Amino acid sequence: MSRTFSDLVAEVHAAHSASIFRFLDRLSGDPDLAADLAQEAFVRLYRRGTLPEKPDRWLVTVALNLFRNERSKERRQRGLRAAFPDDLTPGAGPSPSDRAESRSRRAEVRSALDRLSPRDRELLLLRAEGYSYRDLADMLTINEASVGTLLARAKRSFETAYEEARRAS
Amino acid sequence: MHLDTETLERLLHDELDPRRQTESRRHLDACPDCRERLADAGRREARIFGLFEELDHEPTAARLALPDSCPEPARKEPAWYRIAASIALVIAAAGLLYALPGSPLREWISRPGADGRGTGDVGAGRSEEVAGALSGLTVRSDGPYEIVFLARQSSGRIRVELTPSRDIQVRVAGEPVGLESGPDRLVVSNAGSRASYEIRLPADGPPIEILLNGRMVFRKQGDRVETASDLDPSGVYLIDLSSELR
Ligand SMILES: [Zn+2]
Repeated sequence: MSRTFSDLVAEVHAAHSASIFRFLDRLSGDPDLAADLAQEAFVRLYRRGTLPEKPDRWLVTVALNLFRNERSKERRQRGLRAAFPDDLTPGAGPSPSDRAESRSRRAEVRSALDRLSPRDRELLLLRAEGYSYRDLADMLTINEASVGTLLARAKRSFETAYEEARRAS
Repeated sequence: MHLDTETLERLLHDELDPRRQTESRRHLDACPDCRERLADAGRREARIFGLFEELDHEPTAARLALPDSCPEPARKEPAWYRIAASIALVIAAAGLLYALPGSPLREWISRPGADGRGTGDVGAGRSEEVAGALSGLTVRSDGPYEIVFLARQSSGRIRVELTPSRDIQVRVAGEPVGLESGPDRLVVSNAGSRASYEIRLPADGPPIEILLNGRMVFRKQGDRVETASDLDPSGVYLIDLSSELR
């Protein structure tokens, strides 16, 4: 039974859309933007007409470029203020409910991630999705031989930034 | 000389070529300091990746929708199921696995190993014979292996235990679930199910990963385990299948 290209795209979507959305959601802090970027990447895959060798890597690279463009456009529009979803604004003060506690931890993690360099942030979030060193090197145009060292450094930077964010809140 | 950072990270992520892997393992065997550094790196990474989950928003159907220019395929089976079904060397058949209504998970957990083990031939036709007992299948793999749960569940959990056996055993309790095994992968079609699972993995041997809804939730390589899930006092890892749906 022959499968159409739409079937193939649908299979790629079923296998990878959750991971791609999660990555973009964590990266941007904005689930609606993440959904839009992921869908735009799939539209481009559909237009491409053939499957790339590693469709998930291709889709993430496309979405990542769209995200970077989006962010530099935002920065131009609003000066250099970082985008920060309203419900994540730190310093809202402690609240007795668990929900507020979890929201404040979310704000701390968000704040720590936002303090990293874009490369460290992307590297950590992509590794959390299980991408291999070869994939990471290709997607972020870094030297494959030093991916482990860069990862270790990025994790240390995150830990430092997270402790700072906790002290600040 | 101690292992450098690059090598430690590569050990952690199974990214060393075989020769350097052997050399590094030899050093680890002789060096408690580097063993501790490796264990520490694994613990810290698990904590960081666990913290990232704080950021996640619900992956609703609307957020994961295929865009308009990608028409839905005519067939309705989940795409992963079809991929799994097309694996040329299917070494064990899929089956719907039933436990008796009301067959309590608690009873199962209290009697691990009391039932006969499935050997991959548990089809719908046999489901009545195994009803009330645990059902599942057993595979053996000489290479890296993945156990893929296609969906999160509203309840249920996975117990993972490392055993001296060379077999990978997956057993299901509670509700019907489709199991499809290939040469390097077992796919659990568990969307909408509330079943629980017991997975026994060889303590030695090639790397094995458990994926839940596209995300790695458990990985073992040799005797090293990477997971953010709880380890209970009897040495069993408990993975909550509903952790993102709370
Ligand atoms: Zn050493």
